[in-house]
Amino acid sequence: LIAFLVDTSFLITLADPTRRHHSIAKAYFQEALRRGTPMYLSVIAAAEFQVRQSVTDLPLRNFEVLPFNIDHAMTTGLLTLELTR
Amino acid sequence: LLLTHLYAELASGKCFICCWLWRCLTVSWRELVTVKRWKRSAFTSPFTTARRAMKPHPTGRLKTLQVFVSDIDELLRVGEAGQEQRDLEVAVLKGSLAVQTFPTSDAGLLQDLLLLAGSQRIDSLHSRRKGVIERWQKTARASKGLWYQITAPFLARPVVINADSDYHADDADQWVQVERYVRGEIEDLGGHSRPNAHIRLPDGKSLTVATDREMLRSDKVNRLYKQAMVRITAEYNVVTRDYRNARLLEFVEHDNRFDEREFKRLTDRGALAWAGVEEAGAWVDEQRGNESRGSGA
Repeated sequence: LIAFLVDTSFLITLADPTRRHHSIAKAYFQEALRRGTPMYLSVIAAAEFQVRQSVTDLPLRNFEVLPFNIDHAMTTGLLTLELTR
Repeated sequence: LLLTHLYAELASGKCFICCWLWRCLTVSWRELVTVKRWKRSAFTSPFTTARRAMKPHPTGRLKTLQVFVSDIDELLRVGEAGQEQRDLEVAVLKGSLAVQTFPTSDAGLLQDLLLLAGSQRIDSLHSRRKGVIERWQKTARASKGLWYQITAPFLARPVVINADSDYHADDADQWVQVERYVRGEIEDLGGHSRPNAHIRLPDGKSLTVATDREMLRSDKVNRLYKQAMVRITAEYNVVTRDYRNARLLEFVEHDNRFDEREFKRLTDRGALAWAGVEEAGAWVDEQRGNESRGSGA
């Protein structure tokens, strides 16, 4: 594996120990750290997580933050166009 | 190309001709003209010639030759036939600083040269060739009497880049300010007049970012030749994907260790925060304005 891009639902499952798949999420998280596989955290996922829990609760040193900028916006637009064709 | 070969041969001490070339180079440009005459006789089938004027006298700094040869290398090497071009034979010609190549089959190069001959708009050129032409145009404008010329039998007229020409790309000013997290190996840190950091990126490219002297002074970690994550600001060209004026904001501390205490804090707070959310996937879909798929953890 080259890298993980973690989505909001993964973060929720990781943060909430009452979730059905919490232990699996935790195992993935630990295994990625053990292997040194980068885990990218999109700022968009961070914004969604922040709706109910502070992003600073996350072990941010274990993640690599991915900002969203104008070039990402352009790529997103083109991707959406392709998907809607 | 010639210089690179020259240095390699010199280092190995194998090539008499190159040693002679080296002696000429170290004496003066005039001596180099002699070499050009000799070399020209060996190339009777000229194809593409790039020329840089050295008026009024055929003298200059070795650096000028290095930069020019590097530019020629960049012009030739891009495209599908890039690897092949490394072995392309070249000749140094009499007069101005000039390089002549044998015929090439690189369709991309031929197309770009035809574009250059037909118009001074260079948007359609390969990005690396475009970079060279932009540099030449900028240099020619800044130095009167300096010009560049590319000739080839299939071009109706030579491509001339001088103070009066206006080779430009309309996309050249598509620069936006961005912030990036970049991971790479720190190869150099500091500097006397312009402190900076040289970062070797995972794709092999080198990124130079300006730094603050005080930031480096107060940094207690020895980062040289180690992997590091840095947060930078830079101007980014959304068309060419080039960076410029990159500036280091901070070294981001990245840790691959699992911290049990930190994780417990996350889950203690997480249990309360997400208590009202039944399915994570469905909740995320709602946040994104989609209909709930009813899936997720």
